[in-house]
Amino acid sequence: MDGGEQAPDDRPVLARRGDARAYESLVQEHQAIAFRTAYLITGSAADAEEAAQEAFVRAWLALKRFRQGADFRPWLLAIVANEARNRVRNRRRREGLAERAARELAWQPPSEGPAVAGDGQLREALAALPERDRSVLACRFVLDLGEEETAAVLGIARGTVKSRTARALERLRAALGVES
Amino acid sequence: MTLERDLRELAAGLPDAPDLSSRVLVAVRERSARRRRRRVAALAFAVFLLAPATALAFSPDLRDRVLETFGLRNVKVERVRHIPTVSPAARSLQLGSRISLTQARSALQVRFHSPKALGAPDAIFQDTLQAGVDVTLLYEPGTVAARLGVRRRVLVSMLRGTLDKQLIGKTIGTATSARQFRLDGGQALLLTGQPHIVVIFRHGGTIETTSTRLAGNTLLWQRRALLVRVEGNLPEAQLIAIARSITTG
Repeated sequence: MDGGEQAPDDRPVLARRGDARAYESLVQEHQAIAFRTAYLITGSAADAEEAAQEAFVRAWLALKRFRQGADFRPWLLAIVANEARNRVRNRRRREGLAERAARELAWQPPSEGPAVAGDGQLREALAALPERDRSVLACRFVLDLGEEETAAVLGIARGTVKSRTARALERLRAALGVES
Repeated sequence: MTLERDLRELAAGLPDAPDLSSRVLVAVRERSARRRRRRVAALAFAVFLLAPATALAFSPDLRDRVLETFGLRNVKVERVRHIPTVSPAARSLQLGSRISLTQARSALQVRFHSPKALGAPDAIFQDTLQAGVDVTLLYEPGTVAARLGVRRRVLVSMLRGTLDKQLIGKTIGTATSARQFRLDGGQALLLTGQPHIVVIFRHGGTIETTSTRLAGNTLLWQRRALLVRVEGNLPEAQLIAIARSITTG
C-alpha cells in the first residue's frame, strides 16, 4: 500500500530472528496477493501457486536483506514477480520457443466472467492494448496494487508507473470511445 | 472513475488463492536445515584448510579430535584435545583499518562510548567481516597500567553481524576453561587459561580472507545486536566490568 501513517510491522524482524509464527502470519496475510500477482505473470494457476510458494521461501531466506521499517509487501511482490517470470522463461525454454522478454504479462482478461461495462467490450479493448499498458492497468486496478508495489512488480520507477497508468487509461478510453 | 471500477471488477475472474502457509513453513524448515548443515560443513572445511595458509599445525584428523562445540550467535567455539602450534605471524594483531570514534559509531550503527573502566583507547580499528562489521578499541599496556594498575594489552571489540552467520571461530584446548552464563540478560562466554586460537572470517567468504591469531582470556557477550568481546589477561571480574562499562546513547 502506498503512503499512510502506520505503525511499523515488526513481523519481518521477528521472522528474521527465527520466529516461524510471525512468518506464518505474513504468509497468510500476503498469500492471496502473491498468488494473484504470480498468476497475472504466468497465466497458469499451477505455475502461480508454485511461484508464490517458492517466493515466500526465498523471501524467508533473504530476510536479512530486508530493510527494517520498510513495507514488506512491495519487497515480497518483487520476489514473487521475479519467480513468476523465471517460471515463464523456463516454460518457454521447455516448449522450445524462442526466449522472449520475461516481463511479458501472460494474463489476458477472461473471455467469460462477471459482467462488466460494455458487455465484454472492456475485455476486448484491454486485450488489444500493448503488453506494457495492460500490465500496468492489471497491477493498478485488477490487483489493486499501489504505485510502489506496481513499480516493484514491473521493475520500473514509481514515476513511470504514474505516467504509464495515465497513458494506458487514455488509450483504453479511446478504444472504448469513452470520454475522460 | 467508472472505467477504473470496471477494471477492478475483472479481479473476480482470477482463480482463488490456495492456502500456502503450511507448505511454505515446511519448505522453509527444510531449506534452513540444509543451509545450516552446509554452513557447519563449510566452517569445518575452512578450519581444516587453514593449516597451510596460516602455518598452523592442524593434523588431518582434526575433526576427530573435536571434543565439543558451542558458541554464541556469531561465534563458534570448538574444543580440541591439543591446540595446534601457531606461527609467529599468527601472533600479530590483524584488526583492520584505523578509524575514528565517529566512524566506528557509524559503522556499528550505534552511538557507543568507550568503556568507562578504561577510558579513551589508543587506537580504533574497523574490520569488515563476511557478514558484519567489527570495531576494536586497542588499549596498549601502558594505558591499561595507568588505569587498572596492571601492564596488559586489552582489546575491546564490538561486532554487529548477521544473525545466522558464524563470523568468528575459536579453537580452544583442554587447558582453556570455558564458562557460559547470562550477563544482564544476554548470553556470555568466558574463556580463560591457556591462550586459544581465533579465526576471523572476513568479507569475501573465501579461505584467503580468513586469518588466525592467538588470544588470551576473553569475555564474549551478546549484548542485544552487538557481540562485545573483551580480550586481555585480566581476571574475570575485570573483563566483565570493562564490558559492562560500555554505554550507548
